[in-house]
Amino acid sequence: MRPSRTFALLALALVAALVAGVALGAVAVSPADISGALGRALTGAERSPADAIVIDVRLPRVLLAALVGACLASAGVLYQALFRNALADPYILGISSGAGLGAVLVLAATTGATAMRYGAVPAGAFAGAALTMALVVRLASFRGRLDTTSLLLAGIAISYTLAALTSFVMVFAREQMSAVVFWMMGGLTSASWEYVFAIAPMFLLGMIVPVASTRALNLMLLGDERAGQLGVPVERFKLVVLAAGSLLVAAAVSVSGLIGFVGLMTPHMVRLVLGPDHRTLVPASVLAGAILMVLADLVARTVLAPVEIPVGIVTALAGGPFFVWLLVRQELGR
Amino acid sequence: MIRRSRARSNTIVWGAVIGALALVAALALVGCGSETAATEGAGEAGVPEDAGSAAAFPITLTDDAGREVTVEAEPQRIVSLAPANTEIVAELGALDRLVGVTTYDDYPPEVTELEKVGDFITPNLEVIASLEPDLILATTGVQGDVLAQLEDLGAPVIAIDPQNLKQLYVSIETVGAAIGTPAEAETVVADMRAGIDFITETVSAEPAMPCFIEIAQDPLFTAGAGTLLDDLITAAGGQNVVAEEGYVGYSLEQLLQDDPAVYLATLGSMSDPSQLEARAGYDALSAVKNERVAVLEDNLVSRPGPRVVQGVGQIAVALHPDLFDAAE
Repeated sequence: MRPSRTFALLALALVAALVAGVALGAVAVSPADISGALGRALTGAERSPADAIVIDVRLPRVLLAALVGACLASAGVLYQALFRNALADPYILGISSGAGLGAVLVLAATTGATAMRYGAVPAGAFAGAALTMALVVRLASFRGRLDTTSLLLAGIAISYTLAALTSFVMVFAREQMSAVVFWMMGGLTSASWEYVFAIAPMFLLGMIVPVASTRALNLMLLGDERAGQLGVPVERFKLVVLAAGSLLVAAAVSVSGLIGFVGLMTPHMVRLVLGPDHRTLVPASVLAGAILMVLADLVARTVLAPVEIPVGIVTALAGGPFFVWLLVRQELGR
Repeated sequence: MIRRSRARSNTIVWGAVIGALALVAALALVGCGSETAATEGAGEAGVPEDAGSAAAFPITLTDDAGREVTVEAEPQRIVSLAPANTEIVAELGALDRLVGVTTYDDYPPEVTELEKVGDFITPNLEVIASLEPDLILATTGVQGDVLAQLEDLGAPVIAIDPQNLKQLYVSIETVGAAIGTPAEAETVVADMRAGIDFITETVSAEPAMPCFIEIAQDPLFTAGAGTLLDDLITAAGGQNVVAEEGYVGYSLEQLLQDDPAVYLATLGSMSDPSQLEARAGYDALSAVKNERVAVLEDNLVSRPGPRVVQGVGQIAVALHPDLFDAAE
């Protein structure tokens, strides 16, 4: 498929997903009521009682889903290029364990005092993710050079250590266990406009690197040495990519916990259709990640409505078979 | 200004709670009196009026896991693996026969000094064995898997896990039969029934109040049909807006649509009702606008034990404050 046509399709699909996400939910709201609610919100007119469902619940949730999906997918692209490893996902360097420990510490320390907890868990998760990344990079560059293998090893070592610490804290905060487990499962149930405005700038900031350095990302696929010969300042570029990827993942993790699959699989899906060129891979992954997440969340909150299921279950259940289908289709097409 | 008025209305609510609790306590005292007499009698004369029940051993019972358990003789060393079981045993006047409880146990206060056999989720088999129990009162659910292992320790194991008030009464009678205090169990159940009937009768003056109960806030979890909480709400003159079965993650959209008149929350999920307004969409809830948010003590509404009567009292006061103001 030609890239331009694919992009048009992806953009259309995203718009359709966003509209579906706002139009559908546990409660049936008529299109007239939705447009009325949007109109009243925009003009600042007196709100009707049902407006809260559309304006305060659905709209921020759908937008947050799109942002989280875009963050995870673009972080996946960055890490997979950096490690030249198809199995690299946004959580590969222990960022999930770091965010998890941060969140668990906050949950354990704020028993009951939930007014504080409400804003503190995302902050704790973000701090945990950022500190972990700094620690991993510091450890990996201990001998002066930031090579990929030691980065990966440092990431795994830190990851296991932090995961163990998380479990250890949970032993002492058994009563918080369900909160912790649900946080780890990930989800968008606590979506609010505050969250949207908190991660939107991080998303924009984090996207500067993948958008501005698609050529360097392509060259990185040739190996550190070749990339260096072709003018990429390899060491510094790796750090910049790590920083951008970490920012994107930390942003997503802080508001939605650990949502699997989207970061790992979205870039692969896009590659199967458009090829590995980062000039198309980056923007297409952003769109595809957003679409996937919005649709997965839509399913999570409607399939058993009014009961909600964790969105991670949907992303993995739907994404796995879809990925297999893409692979098989490609094989048959040859 | 708004805060102050809320604080004042809170004081009123709590005043009413205390009023209701005093009433319940008075009812319970009547029960305690007769119970103490029975226990003392048993202690002094060995086989007094309770002759029938004392001779009831060995006794075979069916527990809440559907198992048939035979207790050979009156247990003297009881291990309780759930706070609710401990409260039942204490209420039946057998506190002095308890030798081990979990780290979660905190009522009555004396039990915190007993040997700890691990927590509710992972009881420690070695510690339990070392206490040489002659009766283990376990539960199902998380402990369902260890029942067989517990049985291997040699003592009879009874799993107690009532899902509603009716089953709770049966559970208390089961425990009473198992520890040789059937008469006390009868009294306790009769007192509980009387307490709950009194509350139910009082609240029947007003139509059932539509309400929602939050047991976790992120993700939003609630107790639906078939849960003990749902039953307590009904007894307290409430109508749970959640019709789904069991403990479920609930859609915020649906909650806004249901728009319950009263919003109940357990203490563990929320301690500061004023924080509700800060949550996305919550300012549209009638319960929040009308300041009809109440925080319930977890241990009174989630532990299936004798104190659920107080829990029902708390819920009733939250749902029908006017009725209890008048009673005061």
